[in-house]
Amino acid sequence: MKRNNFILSLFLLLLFISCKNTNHYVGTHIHKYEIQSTEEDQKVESLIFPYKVEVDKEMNEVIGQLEVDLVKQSPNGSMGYWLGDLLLEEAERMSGEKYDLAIHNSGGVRKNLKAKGAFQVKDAFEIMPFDNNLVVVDVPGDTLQVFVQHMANANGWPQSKELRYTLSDGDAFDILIDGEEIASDKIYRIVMPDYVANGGNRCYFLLDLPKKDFEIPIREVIISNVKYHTAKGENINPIDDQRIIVKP
Amino acid sequence: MRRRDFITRLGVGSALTSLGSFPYEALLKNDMLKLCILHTNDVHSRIDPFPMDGGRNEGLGGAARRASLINEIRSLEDHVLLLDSGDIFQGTPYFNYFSGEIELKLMSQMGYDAACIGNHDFDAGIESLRSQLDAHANFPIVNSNYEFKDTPMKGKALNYKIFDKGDLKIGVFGLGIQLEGLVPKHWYLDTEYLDPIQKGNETASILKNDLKCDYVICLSHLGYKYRESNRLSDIDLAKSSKDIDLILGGHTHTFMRKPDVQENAIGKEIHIHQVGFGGIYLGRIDVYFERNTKAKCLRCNNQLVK
Repeated sequence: MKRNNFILSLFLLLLFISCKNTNHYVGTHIHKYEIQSTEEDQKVESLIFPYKVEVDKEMNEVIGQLEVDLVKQSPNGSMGYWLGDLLLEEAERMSGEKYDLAIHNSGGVRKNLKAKGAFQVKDAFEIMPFDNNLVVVDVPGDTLQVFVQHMANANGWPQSKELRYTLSDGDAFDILIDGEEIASDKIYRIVMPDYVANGGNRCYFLLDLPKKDFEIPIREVIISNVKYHTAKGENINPIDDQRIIVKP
Repeated sequence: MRRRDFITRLGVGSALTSLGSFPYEALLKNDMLKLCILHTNDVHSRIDPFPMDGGRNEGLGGAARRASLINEIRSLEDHVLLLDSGDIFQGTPYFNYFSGEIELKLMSQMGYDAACIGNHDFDAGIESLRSQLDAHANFPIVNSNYEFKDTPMKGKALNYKIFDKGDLKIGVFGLGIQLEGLVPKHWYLDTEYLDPIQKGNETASILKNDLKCDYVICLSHLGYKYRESNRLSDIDLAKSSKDIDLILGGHTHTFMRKPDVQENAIGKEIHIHQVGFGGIYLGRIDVYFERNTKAKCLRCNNQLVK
């Protein structure tokens, strides 16, 4: 009898324990702290310091002068104009060959505004932190048609001035390359990040096309282009030509 | 008094959900439990504050300031969980130079309890991710929908982690975004992407029903919502779930003023929150529970607030 009681109480105890762990949810209270004026934690500061010294040495070098603000904007913006044109210029300078145009995915540009004035190495890192390489891809005309439509669908990408089209409700019309319609049987040599060439941003249609890798990160391409123009006594001043026409 | 001053000084955005007026006084009677959840997402190697360059975020953020804020909150709260929703890496030269070492050291120093994996955390390659985590992170990585068994990350990510905070049992798990087309294959190698909705709900059910967690948190790098209906988002996850209480999101860099309250698959409320990017904000969510001493909860008010 006693033993049965013991087993019963053990059973009740186990039952109690097994459902004990659920407290009742009552409510939620939200705060959001903007990190701005709080003081710095000294332990963390001193942990950062040696890394910062090493990085800053290189980052703070002024390599050029910007005459206008670089603004990332879709479909037309000074950041996209500048980047598109410089990628084509550098690719041609490096190889001595002619290419048809250059493009860059919007998402790969990581800074919305770089104010005019001094351009430092760190600005190139801010704009282009990814270690994506510059490549040139041989794109047949009918694939280029798909590609431009893909860009239009994303409200336009940074691109060089050779490409012009009318953008209406996510669709591309009147596409011109260097003033001419796309010829479906022609091969266009297009400069772009390897990220896109390898199918990034769902550009699967580029995957199997012949490509050449310049084996230089795009960030380095930017730095080298800024230095090149500075050495010639030129400031950075993107061509503002409204290369994508927006129709509602 | 000082305590109240501090909270007022720091409370930039403050909103009360679920209850019109909260019975704070009840806390004093010691029959209520409180959990303080602090969270970040998409910090993107932002160690120093944003540079003073005319950008919209200039002067904001910074790891050392975040650390001191976290320390102050910890000194006032008994039960704090500090969580991150991925994309710890990539965005400043610190990452290009040191491959994530300093980011992980800082998070360890700040006492992060867990983090999930974002797509950019693969940006120095999966092998580097593994070695950086092994060398510099003292907190666990949670992920339930990447199959890492044939990769260098094998055995590194936990399916979930349970935290005992006083008498509260909190389950935390993580979900990652589809890597194909987003991350070059040579960086994630043979990582297999599994359906986050299915794996997420499976894991949440284990935590809630089998392991009797009081509260289940999903660290998600799926993204808050998309225009395209074929891309899975936190909203899809929320609507499909039964056992998740809170989704702390990332990827879309969404600055939310307050959490989005959705209705889950069984008509109960579920919160989704995300705090932008770059460590500009530290999110704070205080969750209150009634101690399970009574047969019936007196203060429960699980009505959906829209």
